[in-house]
Amino acid sequence: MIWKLAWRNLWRHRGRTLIMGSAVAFLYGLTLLGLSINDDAHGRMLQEAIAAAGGDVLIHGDGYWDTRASDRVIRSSDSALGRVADTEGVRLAIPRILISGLVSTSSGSSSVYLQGIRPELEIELTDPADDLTHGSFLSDERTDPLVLGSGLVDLLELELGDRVVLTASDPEGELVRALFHLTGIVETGVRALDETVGYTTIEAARDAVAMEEMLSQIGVLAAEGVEPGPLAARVSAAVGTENALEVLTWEEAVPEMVGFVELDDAFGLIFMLVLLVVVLFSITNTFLMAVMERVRELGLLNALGLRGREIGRLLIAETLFLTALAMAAGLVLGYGGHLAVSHFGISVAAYGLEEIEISGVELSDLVFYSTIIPSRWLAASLLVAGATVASALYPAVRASRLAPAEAMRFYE
Amino acid sequence: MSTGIRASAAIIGPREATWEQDALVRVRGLTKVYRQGELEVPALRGVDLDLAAGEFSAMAGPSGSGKTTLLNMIGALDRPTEGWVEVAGHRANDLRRGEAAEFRLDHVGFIFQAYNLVPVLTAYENAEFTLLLRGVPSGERHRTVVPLLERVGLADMMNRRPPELSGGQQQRVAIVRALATHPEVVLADEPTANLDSATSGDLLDLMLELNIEMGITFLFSTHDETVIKRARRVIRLLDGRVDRVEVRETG
Amino acid sequence: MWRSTQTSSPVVGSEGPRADEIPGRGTLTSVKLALRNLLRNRWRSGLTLAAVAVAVGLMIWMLSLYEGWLQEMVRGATSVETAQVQIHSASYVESPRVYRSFAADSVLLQRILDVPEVLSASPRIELAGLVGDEDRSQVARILGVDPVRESETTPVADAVTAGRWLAPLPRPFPAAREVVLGSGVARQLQVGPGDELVTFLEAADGSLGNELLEVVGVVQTGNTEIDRNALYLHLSDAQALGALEGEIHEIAVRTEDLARARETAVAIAEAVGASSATPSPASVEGGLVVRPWQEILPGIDQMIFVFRRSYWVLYLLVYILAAVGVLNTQRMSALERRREFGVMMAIGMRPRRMLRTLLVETAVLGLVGGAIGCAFGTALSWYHATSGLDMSLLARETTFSYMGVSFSERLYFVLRTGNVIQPLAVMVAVAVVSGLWPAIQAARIDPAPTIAGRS
Repeated sequence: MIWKLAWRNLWRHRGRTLIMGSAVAFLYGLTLLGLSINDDAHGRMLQEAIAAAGGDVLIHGDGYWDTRASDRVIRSSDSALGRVADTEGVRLAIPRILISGLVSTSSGSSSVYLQGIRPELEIELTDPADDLTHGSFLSDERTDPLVLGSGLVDLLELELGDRVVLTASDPEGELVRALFHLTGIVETGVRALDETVGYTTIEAARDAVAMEEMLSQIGVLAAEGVEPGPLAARVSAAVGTENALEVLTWEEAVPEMVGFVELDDAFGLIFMLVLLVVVLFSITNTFLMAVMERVRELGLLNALGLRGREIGRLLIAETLFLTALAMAAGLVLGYGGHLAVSHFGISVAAYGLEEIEISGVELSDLVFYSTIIPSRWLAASLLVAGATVASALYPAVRASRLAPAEAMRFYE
Repeated sequence: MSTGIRASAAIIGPREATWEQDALVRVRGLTKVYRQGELEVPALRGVDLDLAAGEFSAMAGPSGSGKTTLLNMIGALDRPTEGWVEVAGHRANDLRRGEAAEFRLDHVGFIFQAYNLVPVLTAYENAEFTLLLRGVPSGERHRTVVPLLERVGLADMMNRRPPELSGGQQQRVAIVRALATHPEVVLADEPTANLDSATSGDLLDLMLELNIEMGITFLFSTHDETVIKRARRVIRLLDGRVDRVEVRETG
Repeated sequence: MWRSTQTSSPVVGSEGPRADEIPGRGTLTSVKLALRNLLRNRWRSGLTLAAVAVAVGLMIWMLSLYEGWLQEMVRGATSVETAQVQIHSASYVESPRVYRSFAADSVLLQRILDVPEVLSASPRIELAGLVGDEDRSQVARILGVDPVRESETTPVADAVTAGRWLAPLPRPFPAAREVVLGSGVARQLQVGPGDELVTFLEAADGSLGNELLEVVGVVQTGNTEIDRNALYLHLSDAQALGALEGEIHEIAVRTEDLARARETAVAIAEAVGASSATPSPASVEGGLVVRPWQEILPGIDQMIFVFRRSYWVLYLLVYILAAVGVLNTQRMSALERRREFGVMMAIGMRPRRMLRTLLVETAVLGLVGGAIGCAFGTALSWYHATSGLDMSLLARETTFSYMGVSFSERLYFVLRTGNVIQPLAVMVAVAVVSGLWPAIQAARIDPAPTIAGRS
């Protein structure tokens, strides 16, 4: 009975239902859309961070990650690599040699971050060959291949096939020079990367800096559903302590990125909560007005024998219906927005912004898309629903206490 | 007491041809049909009426006889379906909304049943509201409104707001508001409907005094005997027509 | 009594001036009426005022937060590394090569310093090289600077966290050359003041440069590019190392106003007879180019542009919700007062004036609510501008870099007058617009049926 009355009341006051409902629907839809755009951006940032770090879990010589010191290497790397690969939950262990050095040609020299890699393994994380614009990516028969970023190639006025000298420090601290031939050029779109990045094969890199039997890094990819934390613990146990290695999860490796995402999320939450307050004020107001406006009608119900509590319940029932309707509309709005954004994307590049550096991770391709994380949508839904219903509580209490005679006086 | 009541002798029926040449209000062939969905509801079916300056007249009749409709037409609050209305030589029909408002401000004073006043304004502010709308400077408004408020016996209540005034006092404020602009005619739609008979009598006596002292023309719509008793001319309406007109001597 | 009044007061007739024609007069009363009407239902007005105030306060706070973020970014990026304006040879701008230098001419420097808005200028050399000791080595950005001029131009000397800044004059040979390291380089090489290093690099003439260095200080500037890679060295030592005697690569200029860097760059270019624009490849023939920081760091400039654009998205989100509140209140209020409006119009109020009265009411609502919002939004932003926002309340890890600028723990907001006034002004406009519909509806009331209670 009360429910039927509540439902009909909602349709009788269409203008009010529409205005109130639209405020809730608008807020809810926007919240959902904002959440999924943010979550998508953050997900991609963290993905980029994992790729930039080199894996879900990273193994180095102790202290390497912090100092990038050329003498902190993984010695007896074959056994370490084998043990890591056999650890439960490890999908793949990727060996790397990382060299920070100078590349020189006749027209000058420039710093380079050279990675000695196995291309066929790197594909499992991210394929650096995707950015190849000229030549080949470490696939020809040369023993001293070198792929450089396009910025570096321009800086050194290089052409494919040119000789390039690498100067770097070997693990013993000796300066070594090694000859490479430029076989490929990559362009990532991020200027800072293109001016420093270089790739060669792991064998050529080992030759260049005298690191036979050694590695700079083992990047570990987790199997499906395996969390990096527990995996790092198992890997750490597997490699043992005798080799003086450090084992880091990617979150430990790029804590700044994780911090930035947390901070960005926190600001988003503050923004949303304050907006919710704005909406709650207007909803409470409207409910209160609805009560006053209908004081005579409610007085009539009272006179007909409906008790105060039931009148309060009637208003709560109306609120529940209204909230349900509004949130259904908001869901359509939010989901529609999500579909549109995830299909078309919102490009920031249109305003000339092409790359952002956050905590050493370069983000290019600045187009926002949208990803739904169901648990986050659910949390937002509960928050909006709870707050809306809560905002009707005071007016409902007020209505239930309103005696008809007093009601009339209040109205005038 | 010297103000003459020139039209008092005239008995004007619906089809009689003895028109007053200098009538203040002239109504001719006034017809009003309201539409209620498919239904056409005639409210006035051809009313002719003349009102001379200084009259104190009442339109009486049962509910639905067209009293209020006729009053609204004279006050340019409603548009006739056919016919026309003239107040002091100014047409009251076929005006645009803004023009109608101006017409009312310039020529007509209104007193309604109840809730006549703006609740957030004091008695004084309500009384001067029409002058304010005319753009009369505040000193002049004061000089006009204060004596009137004193005259109607509200000297001590000028700063009270409507909820703090009795129904009779509220209507007195409405009278001052209506008179402040020196309108040609004051239209009062059931001004005593919400008042007890003693208060009604006092209010009407006051209006009658003002009518005599200042020569203000009053036209009431009512079915209250206290009003009809005091009216010098009673226009009886029935089913949207003038049924008969009674002229009496009152004292 | 009446007669005397009549004679003393001028006749008020239809020929008298209309309220609508007297400027200010009608509005004044409208404001009074509006205030009284708003006070009439305190609950309703109070809640709406609160919604408006929170919206305005939120906008002020967000704008101050963003401006603080942007300022931090610009300052972090420009103060140490680029300064506000830089001068290079045109070919160096095209592609930086060691040999694309120009003469360190004291006349040239003086001309730059004579430009009114220039505070100081620092000539520099920049070389890429390896530095290290017997255990390890790292790539470094070797910056040759005049210690005095550099510390006048940038706050680098204030950023010293260990040891000291370079002495005004280089040491006599054969002592090791003084260097100051970026904190990241020092950490990676695990060295500090007193430690010796060796550098190795390719000089401008293609020869291999080699020098013994002694660390005298470590700087942490907040600019990641400097902190991770920089090695400061005396200008003359760097010239010797790079075989660039008497030559420099750039002059960094500190100006009075960061925001006017473009204009200052033009003024400097005129003073030294250089080009003030980024050269096209065809024009690269030598000669100098003067560029403001916006051209040197286009990413930061675009970031500011995008951020400021996004303010309107914020306005849209926040104010639409506030507008719905205002619309609602005014609609309710107008519904409740229909009869009153009917009476007012019956006694001669023109619909246009009715509309205006109601719009004034919404404007007052927006203005009062907005003023309250301004007060607490400004107070909160001011608090965060002076004491900073403790970001560790919001995230576990608060040391991160963004666009090459390190942020840590506290973010200091920037409160600008414009960012207080704009949210208020936009709110008043939004309130008036959202009050338009209820006001138009009220002005369209047909007085007769409204008074009779038939509608």
